Amino acid sequence: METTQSATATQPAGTSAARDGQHIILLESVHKWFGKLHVLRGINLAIRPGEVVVVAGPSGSGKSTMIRCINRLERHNRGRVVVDGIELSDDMRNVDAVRSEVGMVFQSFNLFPHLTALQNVGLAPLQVRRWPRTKAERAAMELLERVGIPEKAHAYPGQLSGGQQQRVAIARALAMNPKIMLFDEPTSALDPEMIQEVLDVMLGLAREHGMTMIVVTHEMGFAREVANRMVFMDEGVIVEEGPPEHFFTNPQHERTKLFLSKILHQ
Amino acid sequence: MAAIPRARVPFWRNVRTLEFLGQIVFIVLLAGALWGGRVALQESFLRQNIRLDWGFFRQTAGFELTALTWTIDLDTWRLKDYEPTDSHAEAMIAGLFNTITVALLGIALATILGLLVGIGRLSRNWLLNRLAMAYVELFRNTPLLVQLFFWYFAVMLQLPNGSPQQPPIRFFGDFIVLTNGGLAFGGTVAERFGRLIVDGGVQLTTEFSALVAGLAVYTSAFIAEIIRGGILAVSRGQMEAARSLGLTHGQALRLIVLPQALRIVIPPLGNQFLNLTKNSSLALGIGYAEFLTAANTVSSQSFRSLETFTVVTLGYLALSLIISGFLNLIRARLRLAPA
Repeated sequence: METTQSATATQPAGTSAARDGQHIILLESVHKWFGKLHVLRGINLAIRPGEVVVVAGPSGSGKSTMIRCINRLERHNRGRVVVDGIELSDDMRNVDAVRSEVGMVFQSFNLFPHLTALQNVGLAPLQVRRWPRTKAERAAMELLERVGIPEKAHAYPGQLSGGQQQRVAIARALAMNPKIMLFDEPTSALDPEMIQEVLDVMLGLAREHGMTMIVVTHEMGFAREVANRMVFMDEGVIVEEGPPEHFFTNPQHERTKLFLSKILHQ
Repeated sequence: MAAIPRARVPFWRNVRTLEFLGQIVFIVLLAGALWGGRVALQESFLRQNIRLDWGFFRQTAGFELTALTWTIDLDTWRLKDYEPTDSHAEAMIAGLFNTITVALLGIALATILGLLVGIGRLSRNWLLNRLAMAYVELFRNTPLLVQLFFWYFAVMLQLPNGSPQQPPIRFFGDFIVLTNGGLAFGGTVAERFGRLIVDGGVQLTTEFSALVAGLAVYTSAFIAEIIRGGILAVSRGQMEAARSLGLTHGQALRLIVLPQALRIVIPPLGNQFLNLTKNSSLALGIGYAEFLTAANTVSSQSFRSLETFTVVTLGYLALSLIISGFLNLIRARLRLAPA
């Protein structure tokens, strides 16, 4: 395997991955092809509960594909993906079980434009958990308060700013009370003045709620502040991973250095 | 700041003046064309000794209509059953009512069928997908009149006649009964003159059933393609967001994708509703007494084709405009909050 990992990286515990109690997410030599394009070339990653992992890397390096494999928006072709002790396979029940434990936030928000903010957030509890409407709405309102926009509960996504939309999207992902949150470039579609309000919500989630988070982002300030671990990907492999203080001050690989020099000198 | 002298624009370069002049020229040309047309028509009427006369509409029609026959009594403005002693005008109103019935039922059936086939067309199940495709291509690519003949002569008239040798086809007990005399819902089967026929319930004639089936199936093929396009136009992220929240594929389709797709497809869907309504005039080919068929009889009895078909044209126009108006209302109601 061409992947080289720094000493601090946690190695998955061999073949007993599915029964590994320590890790909430476990990727074991995961491969993914889009047609002939080999986008993930043997990803190994083990994440403990409560960990915040920031994934960075040039575009096309497979970051998004990797996190999309964790809730099976993409199907991996080889290797294993185990989430909270459930292995993602073609078993439908497992996929549904994992999806209800994993919240996902998208780059383009993907709010439902025909529903209000409150309905967007309350939809999953109402339809998947079969909560009564009043209970779902009360829970949705609490979540909107948590992301700081209760006053926009009855607005439609089209009436909200990008930052507000993304905060509603975070509230929506939290509505199923997930153990894990996946963020796929949550701020890269936002105007600069709106990035901070979204990062603040994510920061609160990590600090106050101890949420397990995987964040694909180029917001290195955010990474320095909250990440327990940095993962740098390039061409479908994890080139380097480690705690942010090592990663930023003492990167081991040429590709990492090159990437950091580009992104930090903007 | 130095004041820039305001230049005077000569009128032949002034956009506003030019637009105004353009309007005037257009109005003059249009008025000239209309006047010329009127003069030509008047001369040709005089030459052929045609005089418009609308009085025949109040003369007795004297013919039966082969269909549900509601009409409006033009003396009392009440809804009544059409009888041969009624006037030509009342016969045509009965035809218009039949057109409306066919259109409403056809639109409802075509939409349901089209929705199912359109969703089937996107199914990952290979067989379902191919079947839906075959359905669309078969019914979209053959003439509607041929299909109507098929439904009438090759399907409806070939059904059992209800005699002991050919008992009627029944579904759900006696709830749906099919014979070559038509389709009956919710009646009771009784024996008359050695044949099983249906008493009561809703009875649809052979012609009506063939017409509605033909129109609905033909139009549903186009609607299926429109629905498919509408679903594909909803961004993939919507389905992904719904699935990642734990909704099933069916829930995501029903609650997230379809409501958005329907907003996209309302204008082309409306065109299909209008097409179906206008295409119902092909009933002339199988003798169902809708608007055109009734008018055709009136015209050939009274020798007043010019007047009759003027009324027919205006009747279809009015019907189409009413449908368009309804669709615009629905579109306005469903419009998403302003972005």
